[in-house]
Amino acid sequence: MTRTTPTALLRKLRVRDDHSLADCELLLKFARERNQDAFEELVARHSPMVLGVCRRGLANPADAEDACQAVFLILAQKAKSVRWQTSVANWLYTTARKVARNARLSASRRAVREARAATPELTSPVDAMSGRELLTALDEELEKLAPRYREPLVLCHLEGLTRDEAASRLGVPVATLKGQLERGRKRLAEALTKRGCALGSALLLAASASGLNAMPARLQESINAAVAGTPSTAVAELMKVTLVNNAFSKLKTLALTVVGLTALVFGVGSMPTAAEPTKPEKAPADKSEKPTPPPVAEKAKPENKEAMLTGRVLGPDGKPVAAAKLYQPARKTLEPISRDDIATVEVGKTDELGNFSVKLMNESPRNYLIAYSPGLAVDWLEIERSVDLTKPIELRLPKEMPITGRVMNTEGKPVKGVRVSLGSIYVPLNNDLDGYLAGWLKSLRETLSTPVKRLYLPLDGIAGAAMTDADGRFKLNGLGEEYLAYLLFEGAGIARSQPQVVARKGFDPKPFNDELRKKEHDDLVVLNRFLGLVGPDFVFVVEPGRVIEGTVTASGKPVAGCHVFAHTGWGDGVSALTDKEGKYRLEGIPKRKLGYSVSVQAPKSSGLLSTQGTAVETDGVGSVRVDVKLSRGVIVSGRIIDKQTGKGVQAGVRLAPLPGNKFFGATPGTDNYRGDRTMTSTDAEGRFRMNTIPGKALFMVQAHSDEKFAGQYLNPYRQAIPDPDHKDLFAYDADDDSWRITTVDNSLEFLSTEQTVKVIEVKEQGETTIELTVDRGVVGKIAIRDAEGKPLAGAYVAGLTASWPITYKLPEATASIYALNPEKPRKIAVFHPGKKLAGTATVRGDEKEPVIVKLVPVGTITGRFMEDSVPLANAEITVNPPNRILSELYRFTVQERPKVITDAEGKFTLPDIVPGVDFYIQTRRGDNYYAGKPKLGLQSLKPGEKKDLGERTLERRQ
Amino acid sequence: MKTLDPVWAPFTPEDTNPWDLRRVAHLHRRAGFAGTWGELQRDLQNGPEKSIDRLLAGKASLHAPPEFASTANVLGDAAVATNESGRIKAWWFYRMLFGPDPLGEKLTLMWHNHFATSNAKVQDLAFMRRQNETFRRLARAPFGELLNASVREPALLIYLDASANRKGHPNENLGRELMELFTLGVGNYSEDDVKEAARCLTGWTTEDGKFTEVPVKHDDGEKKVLTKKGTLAGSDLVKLLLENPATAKRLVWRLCDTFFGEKAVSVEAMKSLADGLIEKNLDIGWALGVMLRSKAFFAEANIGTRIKGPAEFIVGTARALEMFDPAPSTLALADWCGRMGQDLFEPPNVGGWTGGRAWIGARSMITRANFVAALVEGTNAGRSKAHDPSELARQHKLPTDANALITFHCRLLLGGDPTPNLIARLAKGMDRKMVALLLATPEFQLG
Repeated sequence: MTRTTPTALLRKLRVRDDHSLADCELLLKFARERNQDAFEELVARHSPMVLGVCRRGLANPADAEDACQAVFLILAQKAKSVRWQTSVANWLYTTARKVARNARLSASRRAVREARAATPELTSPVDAMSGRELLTALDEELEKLAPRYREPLVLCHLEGLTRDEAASRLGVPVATLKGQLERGRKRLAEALTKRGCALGSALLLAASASGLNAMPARLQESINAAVAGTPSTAVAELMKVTLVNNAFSKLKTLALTVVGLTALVFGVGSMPTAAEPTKPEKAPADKSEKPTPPPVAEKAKPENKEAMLTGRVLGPDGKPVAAAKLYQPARKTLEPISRDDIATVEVGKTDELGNFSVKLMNESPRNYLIAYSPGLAVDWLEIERSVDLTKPIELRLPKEMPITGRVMNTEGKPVKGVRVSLGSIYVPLNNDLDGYLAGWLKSLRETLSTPVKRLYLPLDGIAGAAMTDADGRFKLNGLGEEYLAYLLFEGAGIARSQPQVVARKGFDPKPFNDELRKKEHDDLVVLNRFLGLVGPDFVFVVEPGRVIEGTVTASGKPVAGCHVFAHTGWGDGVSALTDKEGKYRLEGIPKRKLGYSVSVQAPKSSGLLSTQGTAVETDGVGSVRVDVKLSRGVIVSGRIIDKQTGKGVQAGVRLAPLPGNKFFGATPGTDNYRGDRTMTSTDAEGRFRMNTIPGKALFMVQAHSDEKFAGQYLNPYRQAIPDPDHKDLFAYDADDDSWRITTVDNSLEFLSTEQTVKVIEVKEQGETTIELTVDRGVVGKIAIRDAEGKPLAGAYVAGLTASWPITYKLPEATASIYALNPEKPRKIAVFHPGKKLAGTATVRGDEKEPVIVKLVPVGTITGRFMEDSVPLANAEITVNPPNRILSELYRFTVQERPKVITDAEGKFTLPDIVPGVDFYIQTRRGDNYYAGKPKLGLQSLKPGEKKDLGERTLERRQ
Repeated sequence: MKTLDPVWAPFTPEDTNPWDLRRVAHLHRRAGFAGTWGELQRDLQNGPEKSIDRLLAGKASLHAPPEFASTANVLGDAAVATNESGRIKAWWFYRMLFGPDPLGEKLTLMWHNHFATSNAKVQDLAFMRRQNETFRRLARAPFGELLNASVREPALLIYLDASANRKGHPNENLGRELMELFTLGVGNYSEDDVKEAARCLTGWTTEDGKFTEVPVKHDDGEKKVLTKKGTLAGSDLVKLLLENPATAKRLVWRLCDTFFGEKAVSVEAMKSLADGLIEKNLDIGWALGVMLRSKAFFAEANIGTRIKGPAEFIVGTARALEMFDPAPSTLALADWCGRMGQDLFEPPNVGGWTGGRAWIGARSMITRANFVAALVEGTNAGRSKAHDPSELARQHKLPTDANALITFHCRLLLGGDPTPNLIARLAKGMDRKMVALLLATPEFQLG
């Protein structure tokens, strides 16, 4: 194999690009003829992507490069034995993910070893030869070489200089340098081979250095060298690929939560779906199963168009506010892509008595009515479908709490010209800020699920935005006392960021942030750049902002008008449109160890699929280049219908390609299912139209409804069941009472939030149409009775309907139970916190009379937990039933009483146990969970039973 | 007190060993992060005694902002709150670049290497920062104070699995490192001593972010460590190790490793200083004073014979070129430092960084070259403007023709005039390119 400098290699690769052999043909050539050039071509085509995958998965660049090498070595090994698809990109991607995952595991094992590094007998030299060690070996052997041999190697191979440049840098004639280079390479190879590193001098090429463009080429060379020879120990170890565990990880759930939040914070800015009909975008499906209702009804009913709304505006003292202005949001452009494209328009003013009467706009992208009067803060009404527009409303403007602060960079200097604005405002529903903050101390997830009144809207046009002065200072108006808000800091070359402010005088955020950091470390890592809370007067430290720029093309031609989006932090990001030359530029991106990624959405009319582009982290804070290629998709259209009413149903629809779909990953952008699980919304009549890839896929429907129960959103439809023609593809989870399916990239789709699904074959040519129904099933009735048999209102019922949320507080002693199937009765659970009564019942839906749920006294369980003969103090004890409905009920009961924490002696009393229900006792202290030794096992109590577990030994679960 | 080896006698300028720019620059590079032109000129005027006293007193920098302490606190708090390890690294770079006490920061760096602890395992920036502040606060204190504080730092206890070390289930990590790395050094204890030391330390753990001893987890049985027998507790063990002469030897080795070039101090001289250190209750400040004032420190054999570590290299370069406003992005500096092989707060293992020649590897050399190029160009280093060599010269009222600029930058950065060979090499680049070439020379990698 010939050796070339990276620059020359790149040149060579560019020429080769003109060849158009398919991947499989190249592999065949390699397998049959051992044609290295063919394999090099494959490496050139795909190594940036593979490296990107590995680097995203592995923090350590050396590990990522080892993993990248391993992926191609596996490809080389399998070249003969596998029947390849036209492109191997998909296979490479999947393999890269598996290898990176294995590498991460071995890296974490290595980390464990670190602490014992002083006990060398534990680690054999060969075991220790993992990525970093190999590179250390390289450094050591390089060091041993005479400088006249070492320097040319470094300059030509690692820095990518041409021989002329290197000769000039070293002050030797080119001929001399050439000789030194050859001899140096030979000696290094010998030395490394002696050490058991068979990769020899190719390792030199794998050594990480900076320079985005040089990296893949260098790595390509080392991969090619390794394929021709024997891989290094580390790489070989990584090649032992194990099958991926398909568990739907916590990480993924959280990631989805974040995506959901981004969409909400962004409003219409979040990636519009490509297909007609145009709808204001909804948040993508949220699989984290939190009790906040899905964001339905953000648009007023069509019949509400041009509606009049009357009401009055009061001040903090309850007195009318005259001349308060009323506003509604409006889009500045037809298709807003960022918050800057949303304006607020004045629609009216209050009279002297604080009364107003305004005509609501048809085309408001977010339906709010906002009131503001200078000196006071804003208040607003979110105009949901359920709002009765015929009744006058009342808005109450609280006292203003100006937010002041100072912006400083990481070099301690004030930053001038930073724009500070209100990103979105929250008010806890019951105005209970203390309760909200208490939730913050419990967990981030609980905080996020606390019901709040939200205003996702830039308020720049109302209360104004602030700009920092030369001393970095700013003052922002419009926020009320006891309000919460995300403050947006942007511009002036800084990384865009959104800390959350608590508008309470003298608020000290430290205890809250400290607590959260302690408890939710892993989550915070996932939620990268979650900035915590700040008080109403604070110093905010900003990071330098990088620029991501690049070109978007399809079939080699630039694509104009693409919406390009990059995350800048938790629930936030920046957008841009590509220009005529397909170029885009995104500013304010924080420096990221794990690299950069942009999502690209082509204009709807283009028929191009959305996709993502990535780049590895580079040194410094300059601009990062991400070029993106797009592919054409096909159209799937149709309608979702209510089985019982025959009417169209508003829903979110989505497709998941299934295993064996040959179109998946075949060309750029056809694998966007991996990262983009955004739903396409139907119109009010249930019609949808979406752009996707051809081939076998699962069509999934999440139906929405206007129905409410006790003021809370209620989904009246049954959950999805397997497609009767493809039952073998689905698996059932009894505890969760839901179905799941494995998709093309070996991830799992859990169908607990879907109301209907179908396996379809999307046509390669022309449009595929589909019509599906959602089923309400039957509705049953229950009647709650207390221990004396008297009707009892105010109980919590879990299992009121089939789809999330399933738990409601009943205002009366009776209730309907929705979406039932008499052939599959539902077990519901009831708890009354005030009376300390609970019970369960089974409802079929075809009963003539209401099912009586007779409640009995709850049980109590006590005990004392020890660890290593020491009391396990300060541990949180919770009830953890395997069954979904019951565990959901417990999430609510916990909210009604203080947490159960073991005392200094390890003792606890766990109240409110629903009798006759199996449950585990869960013990957690800080980040650690504890299990009984021997196991405590499944528990179940009789009515009113007081069970004492006695003294039990627990040990930390690994 | 025993007489110290003559090499530790105070340096007095002579005709053959004058107090010249070369020695002033040497002092600042070794006992700080390279001086600015103003600092070098000031100290050249003031003479060795005053210059060294100022460094020892933590007042050497002319460029510390008046609100440095409060700003450093704000940056530290914000870094911890974001939970981004890059930010705490950047915080330290802020301290090194802007702090009034370069020697103190250098000592902090030394103790970070001595008590090497990685956030990769600790995963808590508040603990990492706290430990770092402890190193700084006790950097010049008698070693007993520093050791007692350091072995009780939550970060270290987590890193060395202290909580897993309990009665009946000893974990030797903390005991072993305490003897091998923090005090005695290899060869001064046996495997049995490690086992017994681990028993002494049973029950040491952290709770609610604080050190605590859990009596029920402590093994209060009879032990024998080195020559001492008894129901020794953790604090008895620490005391015992502090009293052992091997500890003083290891400390002197550590100090020489930090402040002297390779083989610049003989074994006998080190031994003699170790004896002195024992008499001075292991007072690091005393040893530092002796070392920095000594003939050995300013001896020809000790100048330009040490490979600069990444943090020294990065901070020293930015400092010497007076890149204070606008300053390079400390986040980017920290990242470069990691790329050069010294990822602060994440040392490779409990042994810390090997240092010396190990800093010079293929990867790190390339990174150094890329770093200096970025630093003088500005943008990728986060500076709104490029380095302007003429402007710097003008500020110090020096000529700005091409040759004069080469001479000025060589004096500033290398402490002396360029050789004809070097001039020829540098003449290939004009203006800031010349500076980048100079910063990438082998000469500049040495300090």
